[in-house]
Amino acid sequence: MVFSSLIFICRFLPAFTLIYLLTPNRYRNLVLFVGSLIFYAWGEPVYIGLMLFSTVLDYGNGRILEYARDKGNRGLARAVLIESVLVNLSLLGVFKYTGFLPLPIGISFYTFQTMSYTIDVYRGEAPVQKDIIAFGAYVSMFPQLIAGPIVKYKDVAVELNHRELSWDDAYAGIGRFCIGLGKKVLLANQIGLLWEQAQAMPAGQMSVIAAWMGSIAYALQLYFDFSGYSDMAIGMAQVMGFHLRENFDYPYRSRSITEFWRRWHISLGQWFREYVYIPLGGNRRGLAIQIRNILIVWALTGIWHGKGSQFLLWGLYFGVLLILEKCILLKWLEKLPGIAGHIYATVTVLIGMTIFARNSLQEGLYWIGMMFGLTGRVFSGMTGWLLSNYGILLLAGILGAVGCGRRLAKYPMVWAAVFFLSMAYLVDASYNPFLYFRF
Amino acid sequence: MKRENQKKAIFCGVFFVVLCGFWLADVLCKDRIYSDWEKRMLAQRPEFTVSSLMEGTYGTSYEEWLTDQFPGRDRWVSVKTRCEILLGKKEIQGIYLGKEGYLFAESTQTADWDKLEQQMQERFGKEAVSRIHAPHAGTVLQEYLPQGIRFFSAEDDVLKNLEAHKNEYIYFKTDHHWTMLGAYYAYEAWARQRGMKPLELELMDRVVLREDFLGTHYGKIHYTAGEDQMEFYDPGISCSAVYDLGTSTVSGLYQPQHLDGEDAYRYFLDGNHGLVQITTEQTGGHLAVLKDSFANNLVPFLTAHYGKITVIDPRYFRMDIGEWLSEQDVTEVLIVAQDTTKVTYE
Repeated sequence: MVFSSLIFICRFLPAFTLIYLLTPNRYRNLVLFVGSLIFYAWGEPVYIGLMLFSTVLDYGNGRILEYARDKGNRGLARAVLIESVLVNLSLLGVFKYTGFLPLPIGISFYTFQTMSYTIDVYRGEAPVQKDIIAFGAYVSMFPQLIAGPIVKYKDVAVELNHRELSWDDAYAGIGRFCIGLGKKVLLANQIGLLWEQAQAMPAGQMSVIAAWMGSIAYALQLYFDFSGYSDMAIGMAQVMGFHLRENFDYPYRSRSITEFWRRWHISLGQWFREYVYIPLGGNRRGLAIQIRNILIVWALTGIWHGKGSQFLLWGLYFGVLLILEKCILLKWLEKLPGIAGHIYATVTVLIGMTIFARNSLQEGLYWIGMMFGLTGRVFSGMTGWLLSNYGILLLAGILGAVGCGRRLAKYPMVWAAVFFLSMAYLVDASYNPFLYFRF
Repeated sequence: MKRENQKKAIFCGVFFVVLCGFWLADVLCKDRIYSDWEKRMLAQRPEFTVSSLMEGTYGTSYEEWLTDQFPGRDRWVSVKTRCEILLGKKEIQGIYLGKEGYLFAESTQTADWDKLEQQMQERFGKEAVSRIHAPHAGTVLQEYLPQGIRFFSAEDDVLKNLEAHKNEYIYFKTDHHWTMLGAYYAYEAWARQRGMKPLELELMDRVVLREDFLGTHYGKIHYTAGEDQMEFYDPGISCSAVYDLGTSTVSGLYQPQHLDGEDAYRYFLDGNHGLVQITTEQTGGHLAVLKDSFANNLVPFLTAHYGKITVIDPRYFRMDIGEWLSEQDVTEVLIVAQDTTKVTYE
């Protein structure tokens, strides 16, 4: 099930909310667990076993780690940690990269979550979860199950066992959900249509402006889609009393790639930072090691997003840019006016997004070529048509993406309007893609 | 509870009630089988089986059912369309919003007419077979298209005659068909080409059947800047018609019972039947019309020239057309249909 569907909004959500509210506090994790399994099973009943396996395994790992710690058996603790990481990565590897089996939705997210649990427990940074229902609720929690954010165990450890409902949270959470729904349905899906049309453009109509419009459209679609999902997740979790961390912070306002990745998919960046980059030595062991670490992290970030060489290249592209920035670019950018940084970051991000968007590396590079005049045409009839059809939406999208609407997003009247419009768009939906099936 | 908290509680409560309200309304609304607006069967409640659940097909069909049967669906669509218009969109769900309320859409041919024409020529001889390419509304009404797009249709006498009358009311604004007047001009050009004397427009009675006709384009986006008038020009030929070899209970060329409904175009030939056999009191041969819905309001003019007219819509005709027609002592064959016409950009 996806959030931006009538079945979720008009069936699952009211039914789940009602049952959740009527259940005494101590059984609410059970309701959350079972509800999440139903949510997941709706689209992929076969893979529910996989998720349960992951849940039971890492629950067990946690208990053994606790036992090992009590006994002072460091060898055992280490072995369990390695076993957990290996099993989770193998699951991910088999399903994601071999291509023999269809990809279970959300596997990239929940395997990373369960790994964070064993690692946190191993490091003594999180308590062991003795209640398998609570642990199951953490792994399968439907708000962030299929598209993140990736919630580290230690961030919700306390709220898993002790959380309260409050009107403040419910109110803010509903608002957040409505805004996220609007981002997905009103902006991402609609701007995505422009990207679809730009991609389907006949060769004789392709132009420089159309190529840029297409890339900008995709960058906006991905941002609104992904951050909209995160907003809905954070909002629904908040209604239940969980306070998740932010996942996006207006990334398109950035003045460098370093800043961009501090603002884009924050939970993934932090996960890699905490569990890969810092354990590898981070920046404390000299520049050469740091550059190696950056490249490792970004190669992994790329691969995490999908199989296919374009994802690896996409990750390394950002890795190389980050290294360049560390060594020289950031110093230069500091001396230049702010606008230079914005232009630099926007162009490099758009190029990166284009590599990411196309089905193969070759197509991505070809598209980038067209952005810089490969077709020898700056404008065309169809370009004008798309511009007149999508100009206003594109402008609204750009303004929204850099945060011009953040004040508006605080009014309950705006939430209600966005919600009703989203419903209208969902009822007449012809284009409502789920972008994360390959993540 | 503090005042601020009270307000928040009320908001949350209202939101929850609205969510449940959608569900309740859905349960209370009776499912529809067919949508006259969208001209298609609507999804029905899927039957639950364990295997369909495990394959995931139950989930998808359930969602299709929910979307198709959503209470007040047409009104929701209309809200969406209005919102899109505010955003300056000229193309919504495949409908192009032209000037003065004219709506356009790309068209797809409903059968391989070229192949059929060739088969008919082989069977009945080249002379006996003729064809009317119904021009796309956008080709004739270029001036009403939104800026930046064009449609191109086969250039022939029919197109020329329609273009000569482009300032008259020859295409519906909210429907993809021509009006009966448009059909007349196509018929006129065709008759002249075949060496026949067409009926004179001035001699026919003109009746307005409906002042507020809304057609297929409207049905897709539930928006119009103006309703259509449905006019009828009476050729004054009395004739009888048998539908689908008598398996259908309707009879007669015109079906006034549809005039008040959402699909008023069915007034002509009861919409699309696989086979309609018309007998007139005229002297003349036996004409077979292979057609799509563009022929429905053109066939009445043909009754002046033939003793028998057999109308076939290949989409719903399950026998071999050529073989069957050979047994019916057909003397002429006419193909009336629209070709596939895609939008092009200037």
